[in-house]
Parts: sequence; C-alpha cells; structure tokens
Amino acid sequence: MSENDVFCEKVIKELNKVINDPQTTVQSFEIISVPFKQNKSPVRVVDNHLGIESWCLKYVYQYAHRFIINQRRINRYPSLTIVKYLNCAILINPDVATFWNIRRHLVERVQLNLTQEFHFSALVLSKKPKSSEAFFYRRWLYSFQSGEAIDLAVEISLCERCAERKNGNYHAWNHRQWCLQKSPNLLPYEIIKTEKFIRKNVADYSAYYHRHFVLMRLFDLQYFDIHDTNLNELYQFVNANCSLSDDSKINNMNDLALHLLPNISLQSINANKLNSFLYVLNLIIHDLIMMNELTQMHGKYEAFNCYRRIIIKLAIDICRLVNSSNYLMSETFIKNINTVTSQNETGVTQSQIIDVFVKQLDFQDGKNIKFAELFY
Amino acid sequence: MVKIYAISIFYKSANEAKILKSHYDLQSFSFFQRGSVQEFIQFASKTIVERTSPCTRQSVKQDVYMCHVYVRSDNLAAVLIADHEYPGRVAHTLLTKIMDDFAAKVSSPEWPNGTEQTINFTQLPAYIAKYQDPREADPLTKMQNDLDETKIILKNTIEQVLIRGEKLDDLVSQSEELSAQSKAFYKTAKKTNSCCNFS
Repeated sequence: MSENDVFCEKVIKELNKVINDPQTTVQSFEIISVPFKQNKSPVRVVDNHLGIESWCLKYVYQYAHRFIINQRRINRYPSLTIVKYLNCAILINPDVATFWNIRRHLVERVQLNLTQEFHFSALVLSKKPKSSEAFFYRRWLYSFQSGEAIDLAVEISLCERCAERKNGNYHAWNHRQWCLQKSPNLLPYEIIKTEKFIRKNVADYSAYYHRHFVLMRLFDLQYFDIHDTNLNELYQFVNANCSLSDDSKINNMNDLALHLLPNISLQSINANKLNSFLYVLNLIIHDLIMMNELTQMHGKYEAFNCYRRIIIKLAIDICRLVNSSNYLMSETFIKNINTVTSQNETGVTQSQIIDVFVKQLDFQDGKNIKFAELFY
Repeated sequence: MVKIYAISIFYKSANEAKILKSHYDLQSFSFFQRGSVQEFIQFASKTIVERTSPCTRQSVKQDVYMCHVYVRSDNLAAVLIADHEYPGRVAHTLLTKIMDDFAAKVSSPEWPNGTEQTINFTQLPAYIAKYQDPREADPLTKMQNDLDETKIILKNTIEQVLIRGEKLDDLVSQSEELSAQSKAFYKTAKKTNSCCNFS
C-alpha cells in the first residue's frame, strides 16, 4: 500500500465513523473549498454538519472508485465491506448509477438497514438537492415498506427543503407528486404550502406547475373543505365581471350555482361535485388575484403570466365540463378532466362565466392576445 | 428567492466606513459556507459604502445578489443585502426607515467612534425577520411614496462601483478582514460555472 492509499483508507474510515455514529445524526454533508493540502484531517464535523475539504477529493474519490469497480469485477454481488467505499464515493459524486445499484443489491439481500438507507439518501440530497438518483432510490426503498410505515409528510418536507435550495428542481417536485399520488389526503395542505413557497420563490416555474397539478387533483378527487365554505373571492369576481345590475348581485350559493350553471337543474345533482367545483373555482380566482398582487410587488416575471394563462384554461375546462355533460348528475368518479373535455361535445350551451374567462385569457399587459382562439 | 440576507449600518467618515451595527440571516447557505459568506457580505458592504457619496442611493447587482445602499447627508449609511428577487423599492424604503429609527435611538455624537459593541441598537434582527415578506412593507411604501425610484443608481456589478483603476480581485487579496478560507472560497466561487466540479 502506498502512502496515498493509507491516507485515503484513513479518510474513508473517518467519514464512515461519523455517518454511522449513533450519537450524532448528521444532517448535512458538503464540500468545503480548501485548495491547498493541509497537514490535518480533511473531515470536519461541527454540530451535526459534516464537511470534507476539497483538496483531498481527487485522491479519495479515485481510490474509492477504483476499489468499488475492482470488487465488482471480481464478484458481481460484492460483500458488505464495500459499503464504506460506496458511502464515500456516492457522497462525493451522487450521479453514478452503478454505485446506487450495488446498494440496491445489498438491500435486497437484507444486508443494509432501510432506516439507515433513508437517512443516507437524505444526506446525499443535502449535498446535491437535484440528485435524481437519490430520489429514485428513496422511491425504490418504499416498495419494501408496508403502507402504514410510510410517513409521506416527512417525504414532502424533504422535497420542500430540496426545492428551496435549488430553484427549478424538477426531481424534487416530481417526487412530491409521487407522494401525493400515494397519499391524496395530504393534498389540501399543499394549497397553503405552495402558496407560501410561491410568495418566497416568485420565479420558480416548477412550483407553479406543482400548484396547477394540485388544483387539478383536487377537482378530480371532488375535494372541498367542509370547514371553509368561504367563496367571497368567487362572488366578487362574478359580480365584478358578469355585468349584473345592482339589485341582482349574487350573494348566496344557490344564486351563484344558478348563474354559473344556467342549464342544470339543481335538484338532481350531486352536492359533493357542486361544492368541489365551487371550491376549486374559488381557489383559481384566489390565485389570479395573487398573480396581480405579485406583479405589482415584483414587476413582470414570465412565470406570472404563464401561470395565469394555465389556470384560466383550467377554469374554462372545468366550467365546460360541469356545464356540458351530465357530470354533476352522475355518481361515477371521473378520474381525469382532460379525457372528458377533449371529447368536446357539440351543442354545448355556453355559460356566461366561460366567456368571462376567455376574455381574461386574451387580456394581458393591456394588449389583446388571441390565445383563446388557439385553445378553442 | 425573495430573501434578505443582511442589514448593516455604517458611519462614513472621510477615508473609511465604520460599521456600527449589523445582522445576518444566512440559514439558506450551507453550514460551512456561512462564515465566509458573512465575511464577504461585510467586506462588500464596507467597500460599497466607501464608494458611495452622501445623499445617494445605489443598488448594485452581483450574481444573484443585490446590495442596496443609502448614504444620508449626515454620513449615516445603511446597506441591505438581498436576493435579486427582493423588490428594490421595498429595500430602499426599509433602509430609510431603519436609519430614522437608528438616529432616533442613538445620538449622532456616538456615531464617529461607535463600534458594534458600544452601540445599543437591537432592532435589526426584528427588521430582518419581519420584512422577509415584502408584503409587510406595504403601508410603509405608501407612506414613502416620495421615494423617487429614478434617483436610485443601478449598477450591474461591484466592479462598476469601484474607482477607476481598482480591481475587485486585488481588493479581495489585499483585504485584512477576509480570512484565508474566505479568499479561497472567493476563488472557487468564481469557477463554479465549470462543469466537471464536485463541489
């Protein structure tokens, strides 16, 4: 063994001691830039934060990489001794699928502990919040756990942290949507959480995309909040935009439903579906107001207009759906609004609200853009 | 990200700027970077105050960060370092408000010889926490409508603030306030756009 190899062994051993130490649960890992060789250990631990100095990376990573590849050449399913080299190599460079696959083999043969693996992948995400491999790995690990043991709320807060550290973090939002597909009961919390996130990260288009997804899912699931039946924003919007005379201003839900759904008899409909429709529509109006507010505060960002456009489209879609088909009558559960609206039944009676939205779609920055014609 | 990282108050004497009070919110930086980031914020704030003449407002962009600075006619100065998404108008009205508050609590004879230890002004943490959400500033901006936005000088890099002949690299390497660690950090931070990089 050369002097270099001894040094690398030492660093890898020290790193693993910190990671596996039951006393300190390390929260974050990072590379500290120290360009010149120091005469002390490059591993630093302060208050549960682990760091490694950059000057040693080139030796340590090369050594660990060589060791892993050699082992794998000898034996396709390496033994547990390889884990410490894997830990080190993945932390330094999380983008090598081979390393993660060796871990998977070890998990499958029950040689690695699931809880520790969750912790390790979270540590990798603290170093590289955009690591798709780490997110894949976590999803794969969940397939070994029984339904009740999965705490997806924890998973969502991990996604939130990662999205905050790197804007436009597609992998984190994608993972979050996977969590929500698994556990739709978390969807209502997303309304508050994403609004907070958007106000903090105004130009993060991924967050807007996610919010649109949440709105769509809420409608698909016919969700509404029993404790929050406040539709004020919707009343105001309808009253302001639908050119109603003063004495016919809408102030109760029955009138609102009659106005929005002129051709539907309200006696025979599914109340859940109606409530959910109004709830989601109110949220969309709320978001439109929020976009105006943000534009005033921050000036013009592309994201504001794009989001505005897509939620108006969503509003038109759901209004059409509810008005046109026998959607409100049937008890059946329609999974996806897109499949229904794309049929585009002929002879649809237009509701006034749809025209209002189409007008909103065209009106942007004081210019008339004919987006509506492109869509419809 | 809509975020304030630091607010500091300076007294600008004839040849240098003396720091009177500062506060930082660096939670969004990774743990081992926070020390260097703080040193840099201090360094940049001081450098910019020294190169801003009295009765001027400047907003200097450096990467994704914005340094908003206002030097009053009585040589009291304040710097707010924020993300570039934080609305500049709010930042400047906030600076005015903070300095008014500071001047009311700390009398002007204390300024020239004050240090962070001797000055008794503890409101900065509360300001940073509260105004992380720029909506909090709404009544404040209405009150301060006389702030003429056209009078804020915009600069695209710190280099543009420097006096002719000065170079940022030289200032950094000559600085006594920056530790060796921070100088190394500055050098690598400049290279992070290169692709084959682990850090």
